[in-house]
Amino acid sequence: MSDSTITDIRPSPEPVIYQPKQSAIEALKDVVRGAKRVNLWWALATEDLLQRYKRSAIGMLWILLSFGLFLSVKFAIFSVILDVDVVDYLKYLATGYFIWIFIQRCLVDGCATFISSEGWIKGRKLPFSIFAFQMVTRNILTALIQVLVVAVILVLGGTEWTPNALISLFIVVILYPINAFFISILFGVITVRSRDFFYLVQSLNHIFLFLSPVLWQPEKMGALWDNLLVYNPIAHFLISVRTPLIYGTIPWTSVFVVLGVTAALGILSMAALQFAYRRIVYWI
Amino acid sequence: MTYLKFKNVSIEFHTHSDFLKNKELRPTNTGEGEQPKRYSAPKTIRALDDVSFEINRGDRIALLGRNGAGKSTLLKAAAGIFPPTSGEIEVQGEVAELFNVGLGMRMEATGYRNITLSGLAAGKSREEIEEKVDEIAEFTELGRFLALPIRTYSNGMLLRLKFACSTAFNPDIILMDEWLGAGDAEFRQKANERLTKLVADAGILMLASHNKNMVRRACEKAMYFEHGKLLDFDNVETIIRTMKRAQQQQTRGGQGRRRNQQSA
Repeated sequence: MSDSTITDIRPSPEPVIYQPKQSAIEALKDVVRGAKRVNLWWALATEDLLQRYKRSAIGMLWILLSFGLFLSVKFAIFSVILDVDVVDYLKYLATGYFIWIFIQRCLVDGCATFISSEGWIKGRKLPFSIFAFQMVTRNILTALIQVLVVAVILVLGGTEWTPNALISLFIVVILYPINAFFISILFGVITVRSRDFFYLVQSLNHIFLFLSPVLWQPEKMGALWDNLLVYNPIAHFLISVRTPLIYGTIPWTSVFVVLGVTAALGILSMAALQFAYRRIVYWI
Repeated sequence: MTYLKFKNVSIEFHTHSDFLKNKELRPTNTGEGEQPKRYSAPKTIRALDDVSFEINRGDRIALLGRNGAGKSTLLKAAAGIFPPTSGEIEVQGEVAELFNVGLGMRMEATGYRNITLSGLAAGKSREEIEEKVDEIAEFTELGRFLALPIRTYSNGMLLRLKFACSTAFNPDIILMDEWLGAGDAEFRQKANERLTKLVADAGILMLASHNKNMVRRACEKAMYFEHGKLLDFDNVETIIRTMKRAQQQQTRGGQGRRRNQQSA
């Protein structure tokens, strides 16, 4: 240890004041402060992934394998049951299942945003949004591996590319991460207050796979779709990406639903963070 | 200019009002007769009660008091982790938190990786961290163990790593919670030297501890807490004497009550 390093002269940082009053835009400030700590949440997110596959020989190849396996089995069974064009159904299922996996991971992981980082929250004052960025990054990295399977299937399946596919791209690349971020803040805050919410989301998670057009196609559901299933917002997240990509048409209703949900989640999540800002550390 | 100011700071914890389990929380015994009283859960706990003080560069302060007196809460409030319920805390200077060893560490990650993570959490850039890695590694004396996941470490080894990481970037204010005790004598010596150097260099040390010898060595002033109240703030020896007196009184008082109960 060299003595010189300890006597470095640095400019003193500005004084910080902690008081019961908080700024009216504390939540937004937190998001900005958190976004700037990209080095930290990137490191934490990659650490999460490395940790999950640490003592396995093929490591993250498992993400690819398990996705491919699930897809194959679902395809083998449902293409027979549903009596559909095989190639078309494979493209449909692969895209839908890929999106579904991402959405359900964001919903379930979103609940754990803060409770899984208790040690960090109680050990040092950090922007809360760091943990939301961490969660989103981790799930995007996983999705980037799985998307390879989907890309191969779409290319080999002979998909015709139209400019409308750009809508899919916009929604997947821009709106999905934004929504994932909002969800992880909103669900994270709710779960910190009440763990019941976490179990609720976990239970609903499996149900929503069947309530969303992943395995089945809306056109074939008739009245059930028109009267009930159409009100499931997750369905529109699926349709708004899948339809322009595979069929080249734009499902405007779904696109608007996605935009509306994004705005609503944005407001709700920021309101939740604003309300809970000074309480999270006591609740956790 | 480094300083730490508390102005009439109070912190209240609201306990979860778990309505389903309310029955279990009711007092099962009123304390009348032979059996000791059993308590129901309080709705709020006042962990800090109207605490005011100001400390400046070069101050080495010990926080003394029984378990649950509010020492750890005060440290966490100073670090900005617990926002005050009322009052105001003003901090100038970079803060290093040395609370529980495991806080803010990834048990599955290697020692080296944790050095990086802890630097990033402190808001340092990758370059700044890279510059310090070797120095931190040397200070821990953990050698090849640094390449292993830290879940394989003993408490003492974790302590070395955490201490080296937290103090590497020359913090101005060091907040420590009953800590160096776990290290071996040689490391305690080394850590003390580093702390002294950091504080002498325009810093502040706040150390919550029950170890009187450690307090005498590391600190010159002390605060005495009871039930969240700052009762006394003076030099270490005076406070230790005050504490002894208070404890003797409590012990005598307690025995007296018990005798009374038996004769009643």
